[in-house]
Amino acid sequence: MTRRGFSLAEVLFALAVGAVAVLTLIAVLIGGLRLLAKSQETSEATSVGRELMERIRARNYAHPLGTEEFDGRVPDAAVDGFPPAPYPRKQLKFIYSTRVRVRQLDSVRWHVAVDVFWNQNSSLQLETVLTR
Amino acid sequence: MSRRAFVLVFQLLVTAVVVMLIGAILLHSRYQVFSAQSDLHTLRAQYAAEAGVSNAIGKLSGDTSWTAGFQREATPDGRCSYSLRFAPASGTPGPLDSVNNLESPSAADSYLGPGSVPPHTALLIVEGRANGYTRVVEAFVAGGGDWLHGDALAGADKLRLQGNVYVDGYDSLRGAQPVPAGVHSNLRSGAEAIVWQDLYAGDRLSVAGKLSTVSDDAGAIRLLGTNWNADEVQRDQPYKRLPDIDVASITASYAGSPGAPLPASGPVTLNGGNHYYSGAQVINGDVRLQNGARLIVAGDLQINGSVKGEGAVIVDGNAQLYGDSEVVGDKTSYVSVLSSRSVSISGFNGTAFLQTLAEAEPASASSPRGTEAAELWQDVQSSMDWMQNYLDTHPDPLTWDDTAMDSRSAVLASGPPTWGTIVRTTHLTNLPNTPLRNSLGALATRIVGTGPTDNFMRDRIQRVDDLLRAATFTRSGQDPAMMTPDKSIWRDVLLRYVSGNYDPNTSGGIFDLAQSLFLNHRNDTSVLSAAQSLMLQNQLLPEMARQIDQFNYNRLGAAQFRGLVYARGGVVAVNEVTVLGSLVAAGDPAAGPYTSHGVTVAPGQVHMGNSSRFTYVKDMFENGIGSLAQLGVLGVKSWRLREPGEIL
Repeated sequence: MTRRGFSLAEVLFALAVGAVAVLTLIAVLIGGLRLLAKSQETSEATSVGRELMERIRARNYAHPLGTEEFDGRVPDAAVDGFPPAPYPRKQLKFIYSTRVRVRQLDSVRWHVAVDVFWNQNSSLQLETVLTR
Repeated sequence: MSRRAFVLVFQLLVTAVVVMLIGAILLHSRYQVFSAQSDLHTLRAQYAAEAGVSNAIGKLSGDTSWTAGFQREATPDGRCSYSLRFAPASGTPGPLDSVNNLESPSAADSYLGPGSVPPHTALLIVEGRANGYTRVVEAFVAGGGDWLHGDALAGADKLRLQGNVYVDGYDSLRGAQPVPAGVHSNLRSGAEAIVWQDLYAGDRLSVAGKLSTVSDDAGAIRLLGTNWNADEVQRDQPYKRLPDIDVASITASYAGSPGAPLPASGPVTLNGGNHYYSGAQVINGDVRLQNGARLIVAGDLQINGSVKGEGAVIVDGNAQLYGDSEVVGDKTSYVSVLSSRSVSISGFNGTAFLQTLAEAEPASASSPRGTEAAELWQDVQSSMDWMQNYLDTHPDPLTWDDTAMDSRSAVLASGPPTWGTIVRTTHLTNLPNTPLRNSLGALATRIVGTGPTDNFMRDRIQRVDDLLRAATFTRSGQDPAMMTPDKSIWRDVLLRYVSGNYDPNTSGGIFDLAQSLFLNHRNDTSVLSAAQSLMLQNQLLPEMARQIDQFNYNRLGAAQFRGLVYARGGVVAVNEVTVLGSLVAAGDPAAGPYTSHGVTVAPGQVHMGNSSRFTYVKDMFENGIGSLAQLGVLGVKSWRLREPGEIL
């Protein structure tokens, strides 16, 4: 029985095709993992923002404050327990810092905005209007 | 198959598996990203919808007939939007149609069904939108601030309670169902949001509900005594929105009903209707409110005398009540006292009065171990304690022991010599048989003065007698008519009591009569129908048991309020206070600090310097604060978030 191997050209061609395929797949894999990580960050940041917003609502903090801003990245000093703990940072996958802005719209309405910052350039914002 | 072919096929298979694995990871990642973004934008849409509700409340606060709605209105930062539309004047409202029924005294239809929007209420349905995601919030909005949250005592700041303090709740004045009733402080941070301190050995704090505060400080709730019980003691609790009643506007709305000039001194009787007085008022005498009369003062009010009767005291300023008080809020508003600033209640110290009475009597031969009055007083206290504990531990009238209860009633109220085997805790044996064989009646004969305070005490003791004396005894003594075997006469007295036509002057003791009828004749249909027996068991007798509880010796002379006692500032009470309804110190900073009897309270603070009792009555406040519901600040009464894809 004749035992015939691959020619050099065949091997080189196969290696080149294989390398391109592997590199492409690795790139796709890395992209997918990054997306996965990003979605986890977004979920965590959403959770941090929602928790803070609900605590502000539960304690009706907007009412007596008028117009205030608290930046957890600095961080500013809390006044009369506002913003409520945990503040200004929360350590999950990243350290999530928060900023809270309260602006009185009229005698019965307050605009409340919660920004969540993480990983240097990432952020999201939640906002609503509360009544006293 | 050749080796080359095998290698080719194998490599293709491996490549395919790797591609599929990586593809799966990629798809999963994309799904996760989509899911995270979906959660974020759905949450944003929800907050946008809530912003829409708040903005609609802002519009309705300025114009209660507002029906313009919002069409893709942007949130303040412009990242989201919300829409709200009102139902057309005719036709059936759809699932996204809001209903403004604020100005109507009758219920309106909505997608929830006919009559589903209560009078003076708006149903707001707001759709929030963020990045293509939508959420819908439904909210019922009405005036009068929030409903009470089941709290018998609530304040925006520190609450300080001393002595015996009882807190409980019932579904209604005539119902039999206890409901949880709490004490709540909205103090946001720091210690001593709620402090209870016993003054004397045996003082007790009893809360049939929750002691709660917003503050998460470790010392936020301090109970300085060992004799206390509460269902729960919790700090770090959610803020509760207290009723926000615009007392100044309510007062001003009555300006067109001026009252007759007040005398410089002497008693004042206000009979029905509204009686408005402009400027600060000082009344040196007893005030009598009749037929739901409202005393309305645009300025500070000081009453150097008692306040009694059915009606309300509404003050755009501080209210200082220096006499004993007994205010029964009318049955439409259930408001006893409203103050735009602070309330001071001196009350009348009945326990101290009787104690002093007992101690003032010289020792006698009949009482070698102490004064007779002191021993009578001791008898009264122990018997009332026994009655109260017995009724507390035997809530079902079917388990009551008629004979045992008669023995104790005979110490507290008048009856024939054969009524009950008197159980005395003292060695007194020489009391006359009737009507003064009962210790409380005998003690009452020691009250010889004729001033308002003496009369007040006599009146209180008479009430105990009316409730607890023998069924065959009227205020005048034995009644032959009630002695006949025909118990339908007793039933008729009972029915007169139920219909509000019971005359204690000419009728027998109502509690003895009711419980005897029930225990001995509940199965005798010639006397009681099955419905009457059930009514006795489930309503009337439990209600009477609560009245006995209210008559506790330790509160014989306390200030009593039935209905809401509400101050936008603080509340100071230096003697015993009983509130059947709820007491609220709303904590309006504009009210400023207030000092009375050497105690200074900030807005929202409550200081109860002696024993107090708070009984929350749920049905008084079920529809907001009675007829005041449409007044005051609009607020959300209830709300829900529609589930995505919910079929309506």
